[in-house]
Amino acid sequence: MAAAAEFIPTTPPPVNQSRLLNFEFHGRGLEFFKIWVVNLFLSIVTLGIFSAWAKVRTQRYLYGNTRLDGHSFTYLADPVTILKGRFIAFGFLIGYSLAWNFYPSAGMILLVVGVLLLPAILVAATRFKMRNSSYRNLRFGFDTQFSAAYRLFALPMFIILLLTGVCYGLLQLVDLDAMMVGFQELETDSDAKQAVSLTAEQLIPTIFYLILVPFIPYLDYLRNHFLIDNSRYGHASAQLKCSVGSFYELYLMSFLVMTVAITIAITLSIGLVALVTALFGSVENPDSIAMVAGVISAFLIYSSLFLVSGYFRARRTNLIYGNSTFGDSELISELKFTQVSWILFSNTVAIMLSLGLLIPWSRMRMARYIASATQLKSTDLALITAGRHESQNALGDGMIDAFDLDIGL
Amino acid sequence: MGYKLDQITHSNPALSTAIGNYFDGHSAAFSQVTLTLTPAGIIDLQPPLQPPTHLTKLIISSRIGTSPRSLRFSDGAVIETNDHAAIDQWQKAVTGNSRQQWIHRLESRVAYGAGALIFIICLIGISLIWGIPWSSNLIAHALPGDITETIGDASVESMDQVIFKPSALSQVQRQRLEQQFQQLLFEQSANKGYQLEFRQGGIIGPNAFAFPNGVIIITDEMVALAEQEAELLAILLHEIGHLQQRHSLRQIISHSSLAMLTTLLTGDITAAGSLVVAAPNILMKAGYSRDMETEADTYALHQMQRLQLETDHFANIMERLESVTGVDHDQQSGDNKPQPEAPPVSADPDKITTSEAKLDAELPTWLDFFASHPLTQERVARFRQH
Repeated sequence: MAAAAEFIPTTPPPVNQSRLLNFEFHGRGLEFFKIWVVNLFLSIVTLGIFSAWAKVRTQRYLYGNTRLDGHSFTYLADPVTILKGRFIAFGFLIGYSLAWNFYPSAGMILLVVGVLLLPAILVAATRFKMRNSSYRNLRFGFDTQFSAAYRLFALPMFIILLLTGVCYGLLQLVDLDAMMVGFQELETDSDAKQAVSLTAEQLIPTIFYLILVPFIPYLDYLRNHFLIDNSRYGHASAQLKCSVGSFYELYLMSFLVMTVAITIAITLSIGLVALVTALFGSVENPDSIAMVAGVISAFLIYSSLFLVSGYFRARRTNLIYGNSTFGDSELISELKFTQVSWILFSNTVAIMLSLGLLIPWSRMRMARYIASATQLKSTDLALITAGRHESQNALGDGMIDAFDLDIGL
Repeated sequence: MGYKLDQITHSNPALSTAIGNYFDGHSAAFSQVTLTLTPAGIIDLQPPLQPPTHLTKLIISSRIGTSPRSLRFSDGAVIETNDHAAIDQWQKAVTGNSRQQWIHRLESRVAYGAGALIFIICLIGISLIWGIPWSSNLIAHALPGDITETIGDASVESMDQVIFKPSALSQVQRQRLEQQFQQLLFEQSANKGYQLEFRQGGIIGPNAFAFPNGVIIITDEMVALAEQEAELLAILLHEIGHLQQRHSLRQIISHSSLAMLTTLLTGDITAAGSLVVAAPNILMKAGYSRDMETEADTYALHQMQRLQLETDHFANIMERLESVTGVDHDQQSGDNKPQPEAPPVSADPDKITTSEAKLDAELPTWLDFFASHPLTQERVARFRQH
């Protein structure tokens, strides 16, 4: 070793010293508002056709204003491809709703078909999104076959479909039973029977959900591993380094936070109502005071839900992105749930009070915060090269752009 | 080293040069370049990473706000720059127009944005108030019989499953009402396909429904509530009015077309706007059924006058209904907010239940618009005047 070192005595300090690169978001509310409103206007006057172009312009604005180490991201999707995807999805939607209205059994079949297609759609949509994203003129990619998605999701999907089928079948049985009982025992206490069948109708779906709930963190884990492990930036493959356990911890903690937050909100509400009653109990118009107290308690409980949702989102983003790597670069995600909750809450209030006009502003605000809490720890990004099969003349290469659906990553 | 994008602002007043970062597309490495436009429309790079290229041979991304632009060479290399002033001027000078930029021009002035906004608001208003009702009326009358049949059958079936129980009325009672109903249809030469059926209302209580397939269902509780048969005839006329004007079909069509339109138009802004998008649907739903109730009332009123029935009968049973269901409703749900009810089936059978009307009476008048039914007092008054 000592001998080897002597051959390179004058090398500069090691290159592989990592640096922290910052994400920044430069989008501005008013500027994005004008883009948004013109998009909406053109989408309306073109009867929705322009919406594909609107989507591309919006994405280009968001990507272009997201900077990492001073360089922006680029969104490259072709609006025509998106338009085609939208036509297909819209056609399916119309077929589906018509089917439910006229032939419910056909609707059921379409629903099953739709569920069976989900893994393929997930792959196609992710591939489309990744391949059309670039940074420093290198594209991201999502390299996997549809079959891989089916291998991964076959068992969970089978279980869900089976449970749905059993649940649906049981409900049919109960209904039939109730009808029979109704016809046969008109004279007897049919109210009691009604009560029985009603509880069964509520009980079966409840049990169905209770069986499913324990699998949700696992499914979330599977899905994110699948999405990230098959992604790459240039030739640098991505990897998610976290365990199933951490997803269970996330969901359990969120549940705990929810329980605590709602308990506190309810306790406060009860206290408030008690206080109001004690103070104004003898006033002429107790109804209106009770109503005010009711509104305030509803507000408290509703607000506590923002806290929970902010907690879940912040922790989940930190878990997923904070444990992702691209090549030898590591993402760092340090969202604070108090901040996320506050932004969610105040954005919602602002959107409601402005009748939707502040939607663009609220998106900028959230994006700015998320970018400010994200960093990349990297040695030298310049060493990353294009992926193997990437055609350099990348614009408009005929890829398998089946679909563009907004599936949140 | 390269430029940080926010360091790139235009510094050259003659706009003959611009700066940017060059990415070859083979690796994530980059270098800073200076672009110079010659009078012949050729772009020269310094350092010369690409041979001189005519501006029209480059693919230049259109401008969106202040987000960076890319100039793409035929070999896939890209120059990224924020120097919009120079690029815009070059494009204009070389190609003679800036065809691509019209959307950007729309986007860059507050006045255009405000104009677009006003247009959108007016359009939403117009289509909610006139457009969708008008077109759904048109479609409802044009739909072939077998489709309305299927929709109606499905609705009746699911109501039977979820809410109704078989009627406990005696055979005699049913036959009498059935006869009266046929008589009514005959006298006003209304569509003979209409059928009267009986069910026990269960949790719904006294009520009557008209389905798109021409079936009118009246609940046992409603029959019991009537003190005279003429009162039930008045109710049946009201329901026939709904059928004649195809109200439930119009409801279904307008709801689904609004849902489709919003999906189509706002496919892009789903993120934060779901509540805002849902609001007009809810409002419109409430507003429509209110107009439809008034229409059906008008129909019933005219027919009663024509058949020389006392119009007071309708008023009487409505008032009784209000006193009964009002009390009931208070026990069931304690809240004092007018809530647009979610129908158990898509057919949206209209309700005569006046629980909302009762609540309206206690609320400020501007909330009237949101109530799905006209005030009972208002409705009753119309029938009392004649």
